[in-house]
Amino acid sequence: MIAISVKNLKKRFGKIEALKGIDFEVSEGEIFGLIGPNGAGKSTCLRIISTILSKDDGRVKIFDYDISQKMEIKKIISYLPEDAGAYKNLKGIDFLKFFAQFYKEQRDFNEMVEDGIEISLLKERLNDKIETYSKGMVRRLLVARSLMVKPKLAILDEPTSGLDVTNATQIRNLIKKKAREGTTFIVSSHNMLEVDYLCDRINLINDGLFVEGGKVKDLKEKYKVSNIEEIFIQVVG
Amino acid sequence: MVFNIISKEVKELLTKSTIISLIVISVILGSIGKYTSNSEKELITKKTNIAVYDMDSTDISLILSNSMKNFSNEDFSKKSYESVFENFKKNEGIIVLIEKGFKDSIMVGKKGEVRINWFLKGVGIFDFASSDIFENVIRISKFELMKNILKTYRITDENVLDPVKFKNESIMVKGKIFKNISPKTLYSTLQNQTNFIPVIIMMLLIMSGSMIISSMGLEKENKTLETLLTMPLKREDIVLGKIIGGGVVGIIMAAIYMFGFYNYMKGFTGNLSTLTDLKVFNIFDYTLTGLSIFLSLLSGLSMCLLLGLFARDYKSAQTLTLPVSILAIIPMFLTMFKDFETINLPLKLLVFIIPFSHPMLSLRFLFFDQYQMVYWGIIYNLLFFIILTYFIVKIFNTDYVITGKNLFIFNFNKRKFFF
Repeated sequence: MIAISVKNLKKRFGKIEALKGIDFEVSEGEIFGLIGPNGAGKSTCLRIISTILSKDDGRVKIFDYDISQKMEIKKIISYLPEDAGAYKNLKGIDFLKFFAQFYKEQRDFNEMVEDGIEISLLKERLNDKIETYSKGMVRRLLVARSLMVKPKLAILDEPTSGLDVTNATQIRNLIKKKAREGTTFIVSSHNMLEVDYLCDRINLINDGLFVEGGKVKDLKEKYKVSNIEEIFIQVVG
Repeated sequence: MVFNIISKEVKELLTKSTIISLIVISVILGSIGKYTSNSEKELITKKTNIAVYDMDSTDISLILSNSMKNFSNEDFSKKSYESVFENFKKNEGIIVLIEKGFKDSIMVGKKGEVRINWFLKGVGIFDFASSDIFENVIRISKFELMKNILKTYRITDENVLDPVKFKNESIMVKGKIFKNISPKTLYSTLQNQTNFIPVIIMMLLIMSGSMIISSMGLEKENKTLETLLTMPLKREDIVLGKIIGGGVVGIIMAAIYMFGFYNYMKGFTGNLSTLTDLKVFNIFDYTLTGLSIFLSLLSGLSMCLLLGLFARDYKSAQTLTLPVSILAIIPMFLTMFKDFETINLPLKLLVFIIPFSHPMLSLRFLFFDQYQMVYWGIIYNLLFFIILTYFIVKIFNTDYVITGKNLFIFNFNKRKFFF
């Protein structure tokens, strides 16, 4: 089944044309990577798919729903913004409970919170206020918040940004595991090694347009290179 | 869903440190009030240091000096002038010198002279208390002296010293008649019963307003707003949750603060019991005022949330409380100096359109049975809140809340307006 279908998607902010008409599809259970330089339009694309921003033109479908059916889409997606923080005055456990409340119609509340506790790996630290957490701990809490609701589609903008190797690896492995369980992922990242490790398929975006895309293995063969970084350099220049 | 947002806002905004600091302020204020009250009570019963040196030593000068000595903590006349001078320099007191020829001057129709030297410890209100006490001593002593002088002329009727009795029979204001009180008493009574409302409004606004604006700034800075907007709930629920959550926290904080403020004010007004004899407000009046306060708070918080939408981050949000506070100060000062009905039409309109004016004026209107004005105020504030919240929800439904750009987009061909 097609999880995301985007056709001729355009978005403008005043004089700046952030997306100039992009097309792509993501299949259910796939980990799809969106890569590109800063300001290429990655976050705008993810924000439109996650219903935060409106589109100017084009068609976006998430599973069976048109992007205009926001409430239905919100029930099956989970979005993790880049460099997101959390409510510092809340305890970690209260933060998870707060967001779990919104999905009570979709999943059992206690199961969600239990999953959140397990994914976060924060154990007893969840009873401390978030203001006492390190950056890595906050990110793990946010990833747990995103995935505890068992979304059909997880939209992750730079999921491991600012994390050390151990934390980043844990999160990447978690994403792989959840994808095997059926969750579809669309991931944006600057870390080409991460994209290489995680994604089944990638699309390179530059200046609001898709300039290359396909399976990671096929692209490496096409450009006769050993990693995505070199593809990126060749395509984006 | 709204309750979830409200509960989060309360948990996030009402931290232990905030409550502790408020309680500390409240206790300090209460203690200051109590200290003030005790000091005032002490003053009423307090005597002062009065050293009287009678150079005239006549029967008339003796009446004056004895009368004054009755109000002194001790009799200083047996001590030398130098030692009393040194003593009063360190503490406080008044040295009174009745000049030689005091009686003779009076007997030939001139004024007898008395020289007074004051010794004060400082320049605070209570440091000047001894002068207030002594003014009273002079008044009483002069009366004693006059009675005795009149006796020498064989006049024994004391009424000759105060022959007229003025009686305040009634005051008619705004069609209402108040009997047996003076305008000053009426004003004091009104002030005592109504002056706490503007303080409550200011406290509620400053506390909840700054919290709601800062909360929006933080939501943007931490991108928690982006996450919240992807939750399966309507955006109007986020707006309402934030306003009501901020309001609940504001009311709790204002209640703690007001407890301290009440004790503080009691220190100044607690001894004016005679001024509160005019009890005109009943439960219905207070309910109306409470409703008016609550609706003006909601209006104020929706204004703060609207301003918060324009904040880029927490830091820029900090300065945005000022415009709302100024809006509250305008009616507070205008109505302090003039009655709503006696100000000119443009000012009247200005006061009316500011939502915070209505609770500030409500008890005054109720004092004069002008219930209609209170009803209009409540209706206005309700409409103000609904309309402003509608606008905020509309802005929340645009990209502006995330991008901070292009709030006013007019694209008539595609029917794409700001909302």
